[in-house]
Amino acid sequence: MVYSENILICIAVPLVIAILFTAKGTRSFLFSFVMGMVTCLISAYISGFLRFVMNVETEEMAVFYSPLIEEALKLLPLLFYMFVFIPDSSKLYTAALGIGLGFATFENCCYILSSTSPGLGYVLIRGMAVGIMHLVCALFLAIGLDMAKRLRGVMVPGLFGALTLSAGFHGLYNLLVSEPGIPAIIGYLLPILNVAVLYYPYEKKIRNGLVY
Amino acid sequence: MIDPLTLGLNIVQVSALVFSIAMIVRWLRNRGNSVVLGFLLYAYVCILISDIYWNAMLILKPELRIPFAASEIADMGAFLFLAAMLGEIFRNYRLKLGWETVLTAIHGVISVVFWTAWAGEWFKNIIGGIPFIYYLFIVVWSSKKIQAFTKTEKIWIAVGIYVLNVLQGIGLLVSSLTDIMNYISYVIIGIGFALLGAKTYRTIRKAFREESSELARKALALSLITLVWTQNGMYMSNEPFYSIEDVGFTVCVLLILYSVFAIHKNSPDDEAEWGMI
Repeated sequence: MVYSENILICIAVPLVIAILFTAKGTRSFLFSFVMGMVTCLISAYISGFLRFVMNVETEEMAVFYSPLIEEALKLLPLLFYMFVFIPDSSKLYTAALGIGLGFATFENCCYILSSTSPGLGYVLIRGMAVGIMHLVCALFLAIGLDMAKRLRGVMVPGLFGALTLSAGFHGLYNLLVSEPGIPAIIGYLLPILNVAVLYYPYEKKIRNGLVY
Repeated sequence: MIDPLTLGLNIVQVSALVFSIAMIVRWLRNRGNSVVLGFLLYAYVCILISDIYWNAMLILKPELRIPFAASEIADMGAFLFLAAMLGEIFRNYRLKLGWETVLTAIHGVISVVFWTAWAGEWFKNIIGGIPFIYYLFIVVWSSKKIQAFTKTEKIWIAVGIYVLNVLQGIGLLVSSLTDIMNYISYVIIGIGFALLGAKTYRTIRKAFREESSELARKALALSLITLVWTQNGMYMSNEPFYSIEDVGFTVCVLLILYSVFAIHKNSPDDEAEWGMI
């Protein structure tokens, strides 16, 4: 039996100590990475609790409810960071990437440790698909927050729009990968295709450090 | 299980959305960043996610009950992004209530009541109804601000919408009249779509020909009103009429795309401001 809390402590403690010895930019990235892992654990608690209370199957939970819970929880630390520290855009994107990566890393660690000796193919798929999917969802959230921050007039639709976009994308991924065969393959390819859509139009700006 | 007509029409819609997304991405890459196009891009990605999710659900898990699916969440996102786009384009226009906006809010509430009565799920319809009412409000407000319609046209649209509500209400209350009320509704929806679509198409062509920023904005407001009309019709319809009206939705996706391109082409000053993001 592997407890998720033990994995979190093992990974997070050295990272938290490392925060003391790092420069400002790296520090915020490391902190958001740890926050991403904590968010993953809390969302697992909430999903588990709701599954018990609502008496729904694991599959139904994964396809319908988990995406919304996970994305809403990823949004919360970002909202706190945005409203309390009022960071510039590039810091906001760094924080979002950290949260997405932390979430994906922790989820992957738990899955891999809970299954007995997974094959290389499975490990690669988890890294390429789930890992990138959480990254893409966090980027969607950051884009929405950034837009909302710059354009006060459209703050509410921008914020909720970003949440629904990331939850919708996450839900579609979960639905596709829940069926083996062609749907799962399409699901695994979806995150990397979205990376292309997010990167290609803004390539020049990203290279110049302006993010979006 | 999904029927071939629905699947075929959905493939057409997905193709139109992929084409639109590719056009926006190309524009963003070649002409620089624009928050308006960014909002449109995310709205179309939301609609695409919703379409793919819905079809995948019908094909892969037809037996599973859909309580609050990602397709509905993505639809809400599309409403919010479209409203945000309009809010940004018309940000210099003052927000003022009028009889049109009041009637819109009432219609929004009636729609939520109908959805709840038809589907029997109140929670998701109330949650989904909030962004829908906001979106309706912004669309009607912007069309009023740009004077997209004459007074007579506005009255006809309002009458059309409320007649549809009355017909659907009668159909809901008197089950023996449901079919006949639905058929009359489909005819009204079809006529309304044809008239609004033709007016929008003419305005877009004129906006490109005369290179007028005002006409381009008018075309956008018109194309969104056409979209709202079509969506209203779709939510009221059963298969196969739902799928047929989906064709109208696809046409609206393209009309909105070309209206936004016309605005960008004809408003270089505004484009510079929108590129700030």
